[in-house]
Amino acid sequence: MRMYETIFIVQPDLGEEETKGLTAKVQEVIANMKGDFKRLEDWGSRKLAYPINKFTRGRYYFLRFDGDAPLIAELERRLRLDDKVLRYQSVKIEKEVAAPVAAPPKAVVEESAEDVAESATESE
Amino acid sequence: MSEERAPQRSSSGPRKKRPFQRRKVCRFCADKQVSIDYKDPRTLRYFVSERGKIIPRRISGNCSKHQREITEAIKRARNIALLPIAGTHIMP
Repeated sequence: MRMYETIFIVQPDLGEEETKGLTAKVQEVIANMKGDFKRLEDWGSRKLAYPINKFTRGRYYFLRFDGDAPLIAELERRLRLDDKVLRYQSVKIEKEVAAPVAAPPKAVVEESAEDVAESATESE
Repeated sequence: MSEERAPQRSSSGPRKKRPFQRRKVCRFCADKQVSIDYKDPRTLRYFVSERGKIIPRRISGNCSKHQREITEAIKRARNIALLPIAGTHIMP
């Protein structure tokens, strides 16, 4: 068993049902392949640093799980086939990071407003 | 660094073109609590130029170990659109 974390970006304009379906599918894959699901965080809609497939915003999901190589292959295959997923990235981690991730899920609205302000200053 | 390579015609000794010694302490060695994480674009942005290029070690002052980690983290952050690949991209 190895420790993995996956970030995937989905289209920002999806409905409640579609995102629920997607996250349920991800958890189902992990369960089927005898992985150990730890947690799934929704970072909300964030501004992308560059457009992906003509989308300037994306909804970030952070997934933390344990599993073996076939599991990650299957999970990435699923994410690749789903065209609602803009981008995904899996990273094998050496040790559990207890500290909260840098982009906490709290205050989604504030976060995005701040991001817009940040990019405005960048472009100056 | 062509100034340094230039032949020293004057006899005032080597390395006269260094008016001040730059701070050469790695931030991450100095403060062990700061961790390098690809999910944290705010810290990484410090090591990226305005055009999105990674700042070399001789300027940022990182030690080689931490510079390697920074490079890795920046590349990962770029992949998931937390950091720009080239400066600020034009948004349609």
